[in-house]
Amino acid sequence: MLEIDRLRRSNDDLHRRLAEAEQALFALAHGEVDAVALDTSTSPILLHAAQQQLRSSQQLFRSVFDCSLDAITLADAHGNYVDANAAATRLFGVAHGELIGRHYSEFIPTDLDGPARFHRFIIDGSRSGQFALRIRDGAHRIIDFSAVANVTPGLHLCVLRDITDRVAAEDSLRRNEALFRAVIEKSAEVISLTSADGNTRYLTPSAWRLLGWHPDEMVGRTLRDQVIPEDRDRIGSELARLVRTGERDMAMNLRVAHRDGSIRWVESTATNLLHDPDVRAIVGNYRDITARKHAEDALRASRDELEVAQAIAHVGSWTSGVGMDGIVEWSRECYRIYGIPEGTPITVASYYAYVHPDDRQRMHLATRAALDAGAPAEIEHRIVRPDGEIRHVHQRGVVERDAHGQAVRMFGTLQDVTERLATVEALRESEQRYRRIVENTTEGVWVSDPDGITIFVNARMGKMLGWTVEEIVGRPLYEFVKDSDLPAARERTRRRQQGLSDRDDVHLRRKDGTYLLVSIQANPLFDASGNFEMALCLITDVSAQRGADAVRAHLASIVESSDDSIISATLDGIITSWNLGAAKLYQYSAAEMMGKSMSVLIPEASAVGELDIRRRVARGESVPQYEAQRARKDGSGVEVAVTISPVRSAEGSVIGISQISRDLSARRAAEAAHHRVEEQFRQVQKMEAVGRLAGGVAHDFNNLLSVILSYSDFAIEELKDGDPLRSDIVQIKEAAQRAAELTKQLLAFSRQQVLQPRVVELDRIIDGLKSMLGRLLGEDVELALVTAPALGRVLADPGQIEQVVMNLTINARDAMPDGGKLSIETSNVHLDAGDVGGVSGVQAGDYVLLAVADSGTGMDAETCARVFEPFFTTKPTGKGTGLGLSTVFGIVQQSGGFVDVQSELGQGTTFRAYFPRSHRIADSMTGSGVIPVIRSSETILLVEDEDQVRAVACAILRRNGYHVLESAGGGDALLISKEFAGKIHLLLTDVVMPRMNGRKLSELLLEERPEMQVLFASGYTDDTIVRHGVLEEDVAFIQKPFTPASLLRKVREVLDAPRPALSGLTPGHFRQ
Amino acid sequence: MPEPIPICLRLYIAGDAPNSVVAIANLRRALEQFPDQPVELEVIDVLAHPEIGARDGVLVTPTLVKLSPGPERRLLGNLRNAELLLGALGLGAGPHARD
Repeated sequence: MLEIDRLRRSNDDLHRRLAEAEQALFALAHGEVDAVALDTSTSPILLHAAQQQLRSSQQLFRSVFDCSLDAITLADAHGNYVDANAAATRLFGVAHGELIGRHYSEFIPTDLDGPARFHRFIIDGSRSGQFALRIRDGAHRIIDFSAVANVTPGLHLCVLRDITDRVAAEDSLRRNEALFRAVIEKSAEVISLTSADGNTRYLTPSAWRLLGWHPDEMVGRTLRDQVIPEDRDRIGSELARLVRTGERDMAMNLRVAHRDGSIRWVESTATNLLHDPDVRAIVGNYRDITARKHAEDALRASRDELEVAQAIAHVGSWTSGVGMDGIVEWSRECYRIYGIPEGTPITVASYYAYVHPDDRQRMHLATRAALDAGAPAEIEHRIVRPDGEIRHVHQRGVVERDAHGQAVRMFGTLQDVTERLATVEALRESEQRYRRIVENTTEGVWVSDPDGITIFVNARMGKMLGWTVEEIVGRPLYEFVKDSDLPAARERTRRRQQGLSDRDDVHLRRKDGTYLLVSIQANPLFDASGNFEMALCLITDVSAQRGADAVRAHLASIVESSDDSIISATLDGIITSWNLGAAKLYQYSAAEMMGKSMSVLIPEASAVGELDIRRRVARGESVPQYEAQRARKDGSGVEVAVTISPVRSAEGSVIGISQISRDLSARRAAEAAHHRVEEQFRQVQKMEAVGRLAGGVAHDFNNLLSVILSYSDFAIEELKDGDPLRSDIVQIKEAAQRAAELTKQLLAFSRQQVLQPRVVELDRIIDGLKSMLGRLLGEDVELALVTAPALGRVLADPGQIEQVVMNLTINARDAMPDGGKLSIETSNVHLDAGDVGGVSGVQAGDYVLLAVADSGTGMDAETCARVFEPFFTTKPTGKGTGLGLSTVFGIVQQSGGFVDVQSELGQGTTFRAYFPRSHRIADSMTGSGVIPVIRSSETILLVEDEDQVRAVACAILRRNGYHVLESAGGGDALLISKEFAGKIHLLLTDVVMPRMNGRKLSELLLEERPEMQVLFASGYTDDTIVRHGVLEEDVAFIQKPFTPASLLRKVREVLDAPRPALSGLTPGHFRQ
Repeated sequence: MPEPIPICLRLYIAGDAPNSVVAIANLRRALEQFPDQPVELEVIDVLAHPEIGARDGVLVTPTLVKLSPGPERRLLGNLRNAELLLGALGLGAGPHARD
């Protein structure tokens, strides 16, 4: 194996050496090497000397190479650049290093066949020519090059010159030459070059077009041959003179014979350029002016005709330059109109002098406008002739513009309109006179054509109808006629066409949609040949006179439909009119009362006074409105406000009495209602004041009661059962409890109490109330309690639930003065969306229902609807506050439920209170008065500003083994906390304290002692820890007054509460 | 990726003779394609140091010798043939051949 490996390696080595040898041979053969030492014995020095020799000749070559302005490149046998001079790198646009090694084909156009050309170049040995050198960015330069193959074996030299600019210049020259040639040869003008001896050296092909020949047909002819004999000699002598004198320009008109035999006029000019070395010829120009000659002749003839025509029409024509210096050329008639001798030179400036001074500005503006806008100028103005006569002229001018839109001149006509204007003026005056008459007449004027289309109305007519004149003109008269009047109107039109005039009343439609009653006097007008030309209608507004009756009827209907009683009577009081309002008020119909005396309506008691009033009115005195009693038909009285006033004849004498009376019952009712609302408002204000007072008093009261109750308990505890003092102290304690109850009632009444919602069972609350309810109801009422098994729990304040039950019970009792049956029933109900659909704020779900039903008097629908209104009561004054049921309503709503009532007169009443069902486990009910016997040892920081309360609380806690730190305020408490090294388990603090309240204190302390529990104590609502009277559930709170039992129980409860609920008590838990 | 092994090269030239200049340019252009490939190149001008040329048996300039990694390779001439050059250096045909 080893042998084979070695063999393989030496074989690989052999192959590698072979490859190297081949590469070396190739490099040597292709001139890719610089120096070769022929054998190893050649001394380095020899090699060095040989190189020196080579280097000196190289240096010579190099300097030529480097300094050459032409680009020089050296390429190897493959066409790869091996060297290039500075000019080459500049030309190629690449650095020297970049160029070396690149192949020349990268710089020649891609479409050239590089390899083939290169091959041929090597064979030929040299090449020169042009090509486009590709440089950066796709640009290229045109290059003149010369290349020599194998200047030294395997090296090719190329010299390149950039001729791009030269080629461009040549191109440009060539193009210019072609352009000028094209211009000259395509020109209509004929150009010739004539040498000094008179021979034509060059003639443009256009020459033969001028004469009607094809260039080919002109072979053998000269231009001079075509000139008619009369002019031919003239040319010869003129040319000879030009040559002789060396003069530069010459011009002459000559005639030539056209191929069709006609004679053409040719305008010729000659320029002597014999001395110009580039030309050395006389340059001739020839232009056919035959058409122009003819036009000039025709123009001359027509101008003569125009002059005559202008003289007849009194119309002159003019042309004018632009600007004040512009020359004005006038036709003969213009001079005549201006009264100026013909041929007087006129400029724009001097022309203005003839314009009437008052019209110059207008004239100037019209000219300006024409020049700016390009529209023809048309103006009438006055001129003042040299003899002082003023004449009116009408001018019309048009602006002529050059190709750039620049105004070159104006031309136009001028007409003397003095005589015509005089006629027009006379006509206008006459027309205006009539128009003034028509416009100022008080009658409307309406003119329509035979088709009935309005062609004229005067302003008065427009005003009558409320349309503008423009709105009426052009529309048929019939459009303005009321539909009911149309047939008659059409009939009248027919009659008018027969030549008959007529007069009739018609209703015309106003713009506002109302109708105007007018009297129309219509007259037909006929033209000279007797045809019906137009109808002239004179229209008078007669609505005022015709409408008077309508107004009267309108007034009567107003009187008739008035709700007030409106009666008119004679001076003696005999009734002459009786409207519907009177009939309604007094219950007598008009038929019953017409002709009767007004005294029928007046009660006996006020008869004398009323008679006196009537007499005063009859004398014409005015009597202010007064209030009085009136008797109705059914004998009842009615209170009315009376306005009684005299009725006068047109002459002013009193001829009757009118009496307007208004029923005051509605007003009285409104006043009573207003009074009631005011009363209620006062009541509310009173309640508020009481509430505020109660809150303040209760605070102090509760503190005092806490002290009394606690010390009573201490004493009772100390005394033996048989001790005579014991019953005294029990009396004290009971009195204090009653006082506490009273305080609680006071707070409940003023809604200042704190709600402490908890999960409760309704049955247990009602059960607890049973005996009290029995006492409340008395013996005449049977009480039935019905409870459902597995009754759901609710989240509510138990005290409040008690309040609800009590209030409903009292309400039921009062509805059963003669006894009856009261049933209190609880059950689970589910309300779906359909059940609660119409009731706002009520959601579908599970509820616990508390129904209180009595067998009492019941209520009518009206009472039912108002039963929860505050201060609404059916009880005699002083018996009810009107607050019982509204408190029920408020409490149930506060608890998230709702309440409804069902009642019928004589059928009893049922109240149903629905409380949302809670699925939480019921909280333990308190109620046991036993002081826990477990002795405790925790540390409590007690903060209470009331000394006595603090002392008693301290005593209660210490007696039970607690370690108590006392403080009278927040500041002290903070200090105590700071100094006390041990753990404080509980902060028991009053809520309402001066300077720092309990809430703030707890926040500060919890920052220091986050593990500490907090228990608040307070006697009434305070917004620092409760919102809307409802306590936060996770805030521990004890209601004052407390007893030793309630305090100890609460403290224990808080201390034993699971840690997370209380350690979570951070400042964030207090809602702001 | 392992650190590439440096290539040690020695280029013998004769001053600024045309093929020597071209050889340097070609070699530089070829190596530029492999910027991550470390190369140690020693350029020896045999006109300035003929004794080194004699010592190393260099008869012709330009001559490129790849000393390491083995096996040793020699290339004569101006290195015009890039493919041949890269083959001799062990760098393959071009930059993509190594991917």
